Amino acid sequence: MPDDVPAAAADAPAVAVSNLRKTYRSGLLEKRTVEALKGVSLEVAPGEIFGLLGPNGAGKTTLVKSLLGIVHPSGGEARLFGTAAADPDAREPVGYLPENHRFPGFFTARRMLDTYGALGGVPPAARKERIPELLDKVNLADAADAKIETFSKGMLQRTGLAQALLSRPRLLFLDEPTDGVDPVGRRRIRDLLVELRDEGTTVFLNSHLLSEVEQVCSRMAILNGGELVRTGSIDDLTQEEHTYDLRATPVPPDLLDAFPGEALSPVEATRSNGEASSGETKRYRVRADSRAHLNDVIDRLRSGGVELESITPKRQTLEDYFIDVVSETVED
Amino acid sequence: MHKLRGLLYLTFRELWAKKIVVGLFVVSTLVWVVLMLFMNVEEVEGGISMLRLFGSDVAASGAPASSTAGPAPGADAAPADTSVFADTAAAATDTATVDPEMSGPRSRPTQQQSSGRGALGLSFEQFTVAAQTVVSQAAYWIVILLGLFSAAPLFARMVESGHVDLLLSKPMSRAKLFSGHVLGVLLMVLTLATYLFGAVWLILSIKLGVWNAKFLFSILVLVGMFAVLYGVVALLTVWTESPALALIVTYGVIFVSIILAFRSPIYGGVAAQLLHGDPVTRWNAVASTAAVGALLYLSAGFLFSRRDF
Repeated sequence: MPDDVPAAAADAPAVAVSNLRKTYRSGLLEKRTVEALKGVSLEVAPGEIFGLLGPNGAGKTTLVKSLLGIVHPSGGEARLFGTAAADPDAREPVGYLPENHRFPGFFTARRMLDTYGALGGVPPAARKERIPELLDKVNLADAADAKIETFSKGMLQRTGLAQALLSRPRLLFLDEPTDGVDPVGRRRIRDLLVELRDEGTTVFLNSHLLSEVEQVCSRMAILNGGELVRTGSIDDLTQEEHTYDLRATPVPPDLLDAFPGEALSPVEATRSNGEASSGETKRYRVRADSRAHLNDVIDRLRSGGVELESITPKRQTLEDYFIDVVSETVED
Repeated sequence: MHKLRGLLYLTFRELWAKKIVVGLFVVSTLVWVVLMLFMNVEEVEGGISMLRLFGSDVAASGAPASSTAGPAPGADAAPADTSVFADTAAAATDTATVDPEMSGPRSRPTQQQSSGRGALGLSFEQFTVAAQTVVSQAAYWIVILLGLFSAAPLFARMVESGHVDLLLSKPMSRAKLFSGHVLGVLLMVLTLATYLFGAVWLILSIKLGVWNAKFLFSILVLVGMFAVLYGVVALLTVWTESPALALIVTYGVIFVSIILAFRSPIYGGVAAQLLHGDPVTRWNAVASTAAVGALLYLSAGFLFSRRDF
């Protein structure tokens, strides 16, 4: 963490949102209102990578824009490191990469970074030192003096990311940072995010790419219809309650039939997990209501001569979890 | 300070990227290159007998050169074969007197010569004022119309999604962002006007030996009028997000102001009075225009600060 951070700000959450509401109003004669945020509350601790997920129109961008003073909230409170988000000073330690950003095409990457760095209050000497370093980091050193209008979508994203990092932000908001970036570039961006987290930077990631969120985020929230429907660590959220994956030697059919209901069932090979069996072991799904029940299943298997190799809590993929949650809230 | 400098630079570069601004600088350069290299005046006893452009006579009197320093016929009624310069000079002579402080240090012609009139019927002072009037009136319309045309989309570009987000995410208030942008546009217009008027003033002063510094007031009047009209553009763009509509309405305001100008000309009247060294009689028009401008910017600034982007 930089030395010049005030003590109060250092203790405060990087992002603190409490009962945040936003209603858009439009129409001159016939007033139409859209509730984009319906009392959202969340906190992001300094130094974590936080993922915000949600279907289109869920209010993700409105939430980020409210935190950056681009949209005025209708109610509630938003703070960045303890400072009210409406205060321009709150954005001093912030870097932002918007979705569909539009940099002037006549600028070269180097000149654009210099100009936007100046707008962010970065002194000329720091810009001079930092720009080549960042261009190298996002793999654009060779295109530093090319005009932005000639850049591909992926190059634009990487330029935007360099712009967001120029002021050495303590809090980085990224809206779909890997949109249009090729797999190699995506990997570099992911590595960069992890590197930033290790340096103490907080990253607030807004992305549709669930696998990406799954790989880099420590915590996440799901926003749907303007409401925060889930928040927590990815491990906790994606864990299926009372369900475990078991790998063991084949269970004799009579023993298998002795388990009531779905307490023990073999996992069929599917296209996505072609490894139902490997060598002498097979995969089974165990459903146990309690720890005692789980131990009972294990005891019965062992007494039936089955050798266990591993047993782990079953996890959903983030994609499955996300679809379940969103469908569930839509049905509600 | 870095932020304001960055904002001014961004606005300058955006305007420069509009080729119209480059075109305005090129046209301005051509104007003063023509005046410097290809405009020649012939003097007879302190007056101008012949005006040549590119070696051809564009204004000459058929009357013989006058040997007296008295009023020439052209001062009261434009000669039939004179150009717009003589017409303007005649008008200038009708409406204004030549400021005795107008003449500055000069080597050619002498002070005595400058008050005389040649065959063209113009003294050096009259010709200088006439030429400056032509330049300032023409430049006014060119800079206002083309300047607004090139600057109007700039405000729309600033508030467009994807760009305004980047600007607003910087640690700077919306008021600073708005005023920095407007300041950048006005500084560009000031630079352009100074480039054109300053060079024309310098060339005419050196060539004719008449240093009419009051001509430079035209720069301030032009920038002031542009500022008011850009206020219309800013207000309508932040309100409707349509630069085309903003431009149409602004041109409509100009059209209405032309009609009103017959009653109470602001630019022509005040600029001409300043140019000729006359006391400004239409301060009320200047004050009301400034008040309208202030109101426009306050309204635009208020809307800009309240809007969601």
